[in-house]
Order: sequence, then C-alpha cells, then structure tokens
Amino acid sequence: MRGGWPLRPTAEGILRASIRSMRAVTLSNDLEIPRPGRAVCLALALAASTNSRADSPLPENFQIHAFAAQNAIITSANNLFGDTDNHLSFDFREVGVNGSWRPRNNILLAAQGTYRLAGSTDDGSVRLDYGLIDYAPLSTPDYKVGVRAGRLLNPLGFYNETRDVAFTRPSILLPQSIYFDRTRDLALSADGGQFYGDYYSSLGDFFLQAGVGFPRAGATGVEGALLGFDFPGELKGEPSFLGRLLYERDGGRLRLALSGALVNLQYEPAGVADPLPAGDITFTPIIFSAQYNAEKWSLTSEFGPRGFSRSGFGQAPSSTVGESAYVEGLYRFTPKWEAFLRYDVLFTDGGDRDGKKFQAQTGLPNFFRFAKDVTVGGTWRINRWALARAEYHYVNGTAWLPLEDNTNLAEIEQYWSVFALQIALRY
Amino acid sequence: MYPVRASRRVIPAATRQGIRCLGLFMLFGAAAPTFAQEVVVNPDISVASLDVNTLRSIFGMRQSTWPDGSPIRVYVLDDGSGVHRHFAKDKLNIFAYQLEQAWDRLVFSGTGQAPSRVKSLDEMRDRITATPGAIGYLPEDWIDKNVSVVRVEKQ
Repeated sequence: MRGGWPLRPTAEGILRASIRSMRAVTLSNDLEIPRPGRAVCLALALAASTNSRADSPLPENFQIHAFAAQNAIITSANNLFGDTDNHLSFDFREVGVNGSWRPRNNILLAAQGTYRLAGSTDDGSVRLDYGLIDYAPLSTPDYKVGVRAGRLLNPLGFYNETRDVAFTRPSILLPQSIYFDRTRDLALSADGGQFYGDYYSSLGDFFLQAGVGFPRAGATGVEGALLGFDFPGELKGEPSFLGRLLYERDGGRLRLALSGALVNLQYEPAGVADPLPAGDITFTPIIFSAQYNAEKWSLTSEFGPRGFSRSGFGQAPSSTVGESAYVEGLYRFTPKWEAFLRYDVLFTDGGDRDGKKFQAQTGLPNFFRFAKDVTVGGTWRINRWALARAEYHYVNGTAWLPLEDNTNLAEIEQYWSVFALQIALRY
Repeated sequence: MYPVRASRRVIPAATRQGIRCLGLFMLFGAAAPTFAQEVVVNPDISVASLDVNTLRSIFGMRQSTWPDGSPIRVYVLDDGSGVHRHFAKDKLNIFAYQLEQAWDRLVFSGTGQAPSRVKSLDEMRDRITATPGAIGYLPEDWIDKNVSVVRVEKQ
C-alpha cells in the first residue's frame, strides 16, 4: 500500500509520528551515543591548539584536526534549525575534533568527537561520530585492500562522510533531498565492520567499500524524527548493510558513484503501557552520484529512489519509494571566491508526488509530501583556516522541514525562503 | 614502475641565490610565470621515475609506502602559493582544489592523513633532505645535490 499510514486518532504525537515516518527518506543509522562530556572535547581542542606541525612535540604519524561552524538563519515562514521564522537565529552550530595515529604503516587509528546544536532537532550533546581501526595488509602502487572496524562513517553519496565539515561541501545546507539533516546521526555512521578495496589503473581509480553494522538508532533526535515522539520503548538498530563503488577518472576530473544500503530498525515497546506497539522499519536508499570537475567549474548531480517500509506499530504494513534528486553548478571566480546554483527536489512518495492521496487519507496538507528547492549561494575561502558563506533558498513544499522546530502543523506554509550565513573554521 | 635513478642535478650556489629572490617575487606576484616544477625525493629513495597515476596517488595521500615498504612522507607548500597550484596542474594534471578536497575527505572521515605543509621552498628542501622517505616538489633552480629529482612519466 502506498502513501497511507492510517492515523491513530488519539495522540497528536502519533499523528506526527506517522507523518514523519512516511517522510523519513533518510539514509541509515545509531546504537547508543557515548557522551564523553564537553571537557574531553575542550581538552582535545587545547591539544590541537598546541599541535603546530612544524615544531610539534607529537610524532609525525599522529595528527589532530578540528572544524567549527556557526550559522545564522532567517526564514520567511517555518522554522529551520531554530526559531528562524522572520527572526535571525544562531541555534545551528557544530564543533568537531578528530585525531588519527598511524602506529605502523598499514594500521590507522582514528576517532572524532562532535558537538552539534541544530534548533530542536539536535540538543547540542557531544557524541562520538567515528572511532575506528583500519588495517590494510595489501598496499601496492596498483591496489590496496583493507578492513575497518569500530564506529564507521557510512559511505553514501559524495558528501555523507564529511557532511558536517563546511570545507568539504559547496554550501551551508547540503541538498536536503539526499542529505537529510533531521536524522544526521543515523545517516552518518554505524557500529560494525567494513571491507575496502582500491584499484588504481590507467582507466581510472576504483574504490569499493562494503560493510555491515548496527545503525545508531538510539542517537539524539532519531526516535523523534522517525516515530514523531520519544516513546517509552527503544528504537534499536538491527544488522544493516551498506556499500559504495566510487570511480574517479583523471585524478577526480570525473567522479561517479553508486551507493546503496539496507537499514533495519526495530522498535521494542516498554511494556503494555507503551502507546506504540512493536514494529520494524526498513530503509533501502540507492544513490547515483556524478560530478565533473574543471578548473573553473564543477557540475554535480545525485539522485535515487529511497525505499521505506514499515510493519507492526499496530497498523497495516506499508511501503513507499521516495525520490530525491539535485543538480548543481559551481563556478570558481578565483581560488578564493566561488558561487553555485542548485535545484533540489524530494518526493516522499514517488507514487503520490503531488501529495494528493496523502491529503485525502490524512487531511493534512499535500505539500508535506514534496519539497522543490532552488538555491543560490557563494563562498569566500578566506584562507586555509576560514571561510564565509551566504545562500538563499526558495522552497515549494516542506517534505524535509524538521517538524521538531514546527510543532504547530497549522502554521506550516507551502512557499517559504531561507537566508543563511556561515562562518567556518578548520585546523 | 620504479626504474632506478640515473642522475642528479646540481646547481651552483650563486645561481641558486639569485633565483631564490626571483622565486620569492613569483610566490607573491600573481601574474608572474612560474618555474617548471620537479618532483623531488629524499636521496635515499631509489626511484628515478613515477607515472602520473602513481604520483597522484602519493600526493592524494592514498599510497603510503615506497616499493621497499618504507613509509612515504609527503610535503606540500601551503596552498595559497602559486607554486603549489602550478605543481598540481602541471605535474599531477589535477587542480589544487581537488587535492585539498581529497585530503579533507581523508582527514575528516578517519580514513587517512593530510600531507605535511611547509611554509617556504627553503623549508621544503630542508625537509626533503632530512626526512627518510620524503617526497615533495621544487622549482628547477632550487634543486641541489641533497635532493633527488624523480622523472614524471605522462601516460
């Protein structure tokens, strides 16, 4: 059955739950969030600040890097990562510190802790984004084969692994149809193992990654985003699978990638008093990615179907296939100044693109089920440590709008625009 | 893939001094032409030539060992310099922003490390000379007997 997830008439929370679940075209996963405390982050930051590479007390095979971004957002309607409705909000910021150590040439240990605040969708806690050991027993000029274990970043599309690092992306907000920020932790990393193989040839370089792991379903905001409410029971990650094949020609002039995942989540109610019965959620996103990089300009597109099915929760099973796609052109006026133009579209249910069936079944606005976003923006790469950005979005529909920031559904508007500024640093 | 070295280049000290001033000017003068770059390695490395794919793997921080199993140490000039941009484009046939993005992807995904950055051509030469397994690049006239030039084979 497409589109309809019959609503339970009782609680508003459950109503929102169903909307969110259906809209959840997110990628992948969470187990449980270690909260080492901000002191650890601060200590790492201090360590980083003393780690000047030229005369470092640390060995050359140990590196510390960090990034930080402060965003300012104002919207013409609807709230996006803060109280932004005709109000300039600074409630969207991120700080991350990572360390890596290569004790032997074929072994790498790496970990990253991140603080993230994003309006009501992320609470500003410190979490471990990744912590892994990488062993590459085979490494030659032609190929490299290895395994990784621990908390691993999910290789999905071009940007997922470094989605928080402003310097690695073209814009303040990544295209939300693919890089859904509402379920950021779930999409970002999973606990498990991964095989990888790189093959370098005169035809180009091939990079294959395939992994199995437990999604981070317990991470901050995930239950809220997927179930609409933080229910008494527990949303748990079940064994899930993920892979990406990336091809780069001429050192990345042309980049093509195919990513896919099978992500399983299970809700276990906390006894009979739990208003939400047990249920299962499965995501099967597939992403096709293509990019051409010239000296002055880059053209990027990513698109794909995103399967979402659920069973249990006291309702008939349902499944939908969402559709997401964007195309983006970026131009570099100088090495320091660049601008981009992007069109990004999301349909929560490819069989109900205009949301009319959804509207008939739920009485909710049809524009909750799509989002068409035209974005224009620019970046000033001030130096290697700092950049500043500005961008403007004109959006028709609210399919990726975080409902956590918009608790009064009646106030949500179909046509809205976003103006955002960003200052980002890295070390 | 790794033919053994045949020869080294030696430049008289006086010539080097003169060229160095000119080089500094060109570091900061945006429109000035830049010397041809050469890939240079620590003299202990017995590699005389590298094809451009291998070189891209090395400077892209994806290949971390020399054929004898010793670790590769990559040195680059801070990316604001025209020397680095010219090196990336002329010798690696990619653009500096691509290298920068590739390093960021490795560093911030826990799958690799960044190259070591040097602030000047003097420091580049000193580090290449002093560090076993080191690789970097220098304008032709900066090269002395303490570093070895590696020939780049275009494909």
